[in-house]
Amino acid sequence: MKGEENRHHRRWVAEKLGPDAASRELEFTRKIFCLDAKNYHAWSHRQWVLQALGGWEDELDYCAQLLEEDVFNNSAWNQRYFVITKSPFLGGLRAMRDSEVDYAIEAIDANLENESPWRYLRGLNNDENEAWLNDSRVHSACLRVLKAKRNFKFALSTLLDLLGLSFKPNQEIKDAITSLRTSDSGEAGSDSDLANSICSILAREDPMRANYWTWRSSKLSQAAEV
Amino acid sequence: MPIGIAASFRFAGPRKEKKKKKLGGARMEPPPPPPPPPLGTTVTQRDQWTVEQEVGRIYSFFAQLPPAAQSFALEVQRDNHIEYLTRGLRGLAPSFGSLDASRPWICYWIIHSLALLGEPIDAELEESIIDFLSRCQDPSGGYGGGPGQLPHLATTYAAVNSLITLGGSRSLSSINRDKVHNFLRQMKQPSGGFRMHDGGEIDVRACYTAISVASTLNILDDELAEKVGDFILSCQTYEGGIAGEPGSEAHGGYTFCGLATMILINEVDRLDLSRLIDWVVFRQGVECGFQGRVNKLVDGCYSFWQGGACALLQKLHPFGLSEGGEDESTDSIDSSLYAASNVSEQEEQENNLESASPQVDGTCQFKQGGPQSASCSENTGNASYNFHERCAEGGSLFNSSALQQYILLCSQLPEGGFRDKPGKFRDFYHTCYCLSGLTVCQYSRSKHADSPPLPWDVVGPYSNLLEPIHPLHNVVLSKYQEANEFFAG
Repeated sequence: MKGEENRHHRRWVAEKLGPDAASRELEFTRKIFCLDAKNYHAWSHRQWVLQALGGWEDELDYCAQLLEEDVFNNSAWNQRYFVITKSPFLGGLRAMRDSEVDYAIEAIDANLENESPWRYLRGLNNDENEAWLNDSRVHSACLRVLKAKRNFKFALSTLLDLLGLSFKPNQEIKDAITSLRTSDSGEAGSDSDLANSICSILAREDPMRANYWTWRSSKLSQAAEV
Repeated sequence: MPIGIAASFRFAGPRKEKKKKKLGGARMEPPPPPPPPPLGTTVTQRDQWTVEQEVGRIYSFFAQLPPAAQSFALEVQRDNHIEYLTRGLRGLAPSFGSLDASRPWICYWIIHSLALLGEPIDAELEESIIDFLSRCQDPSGGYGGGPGQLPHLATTYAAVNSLITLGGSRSLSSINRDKVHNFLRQMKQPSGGFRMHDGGEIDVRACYTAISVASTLNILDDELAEKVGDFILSCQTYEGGIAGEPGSEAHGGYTFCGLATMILINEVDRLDLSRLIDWVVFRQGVECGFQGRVNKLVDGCYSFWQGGACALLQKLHPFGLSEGGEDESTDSIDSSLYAASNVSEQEEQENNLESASPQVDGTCQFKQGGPQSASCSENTGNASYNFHERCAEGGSLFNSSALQQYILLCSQLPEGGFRDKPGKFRDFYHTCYCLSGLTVCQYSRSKHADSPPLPWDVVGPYSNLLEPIHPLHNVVLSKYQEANEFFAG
């Protein structure tokens, strides 16, 4: 609570001092991030500063720098999303989506188990499913991971989401999924079989979430009935 | 025994070679020093590695204990917790230094923990707490951190929950409801959210504390609820979880607060529940406990924030299939849907028993039969009162036995109290939320919020069973019900 009160006081002071306070406040949070790059209150304050006082010009670079230092820093990924959607200098999510997909996939390829870029990638589509469904870079990325046969739970989960949006996978993807199954039950048939396959593979490979994958599977059959 | 998870924990090393036993039994060798983290790793990876080593050591050690010792290790150390908590409560009288502004919180953490353990508080102590909290009440409404301090939503929540947990007419009638109502209205913002205190921040936690208090005191009206949903919706992030403010990172504490609030104001369907569920279930990591955010470290307190969010989500029906929770009367339930849901739930229960619960012996499959849906209470308007009576369909979304294992083996201190993680010190906050998380786990597959769990839903001896809570307010259910009656009408 103490941190909250201080932060609020800083806001009050900064508001009084006007736009010149922007660079000083941004520098203040930067110093905090040197010690604790994920400090929740400091990130909240930084976002407030940008929106109230400006200073957006270097923010995307700053995110890139933090991610250089620690690509697992989810706060930096979150800030990146904030910048690409809100910065008056960048044109918004639609304009930025293409380059950001590349950025996220590059991060995924570097560390398959890093959940941050996977969620970021999903966040980029922002319910505009057409672009998401037709983006072959996303499909290839998933395929690459499946073929590596390790750390593939996010790839499978992403494919499961895509299948839920009526994604039609090519044969290569279908084969890659089938090859991860342990039981020999022949070719994957329809897409709902494929989705069910994914759920069973995940229930096996990701036992912590076995109930969740079973539940996803049951949702598939309910959706099919409707 | 949930050894399945412990043994599969990837840092559980191979069993040590058997040393020659001296007379008098096996000696415990000190564990070898952990290997250094691999080169070229980031801060996140190194910190995570360190925690995994610590936790892995605990689980490996546990795995090779004889059964009697394992049983003991999994026991809730009631007496020691009660002693730790009671001493803390008595020690509240003198100031706690930097926590001086948070005495109502400490009250709540301790009183709630004792209530979960089923331990009554002696009458004299109870009286002095009621007295103290009364003096924290501001003349114009709300509770501050201490006598004479400005009122604050968080301390109001803590004070009200404490008084409800103490129960009895003296405690409950000490709450000046009209004044609390005034205070809430003052904190309400045109945008829909609430400020924590006069001139304070607007965030999801403020919304939750306000709405939760309004609900328990039966003063939740349209004015207070107006546009709260809009604000919380704007706090659901691209990741699926909920942040404190729009733009901030998805976070377990705020996710619980946001979700609970939306349920209380009957607007939960506005959230993207699929994405929310997907985010929250992935917060349970290899250590078996929950983390607060993606790529952050496990922490015992998230057993409640994240585990509790899962428990709430289980009671909802994201696809809008009417399975007994939403309609005013059972007559309006489509009987074909009812039959379908009955069957799939039975299958799901069986699947869950086989695949998810390591403790279950194949010979004691639990058969669900009969019209469970029909026996659920319907939601007749008071979102809070009947919510806890909704049936959780199909077992727990999260891994309940794994979480219990983390709480009991990694967070619990045998000498009393609970901590964030190994290497941290115990405190009342973590004691409160680890115990709250534990009860959430124990009742996570119960048909009703207070129906006794089955033996295999409770990790450790069945005597570990805690009191059930109201999952939206985190107060012991029987106390909530007493208060609900008291404040009705």
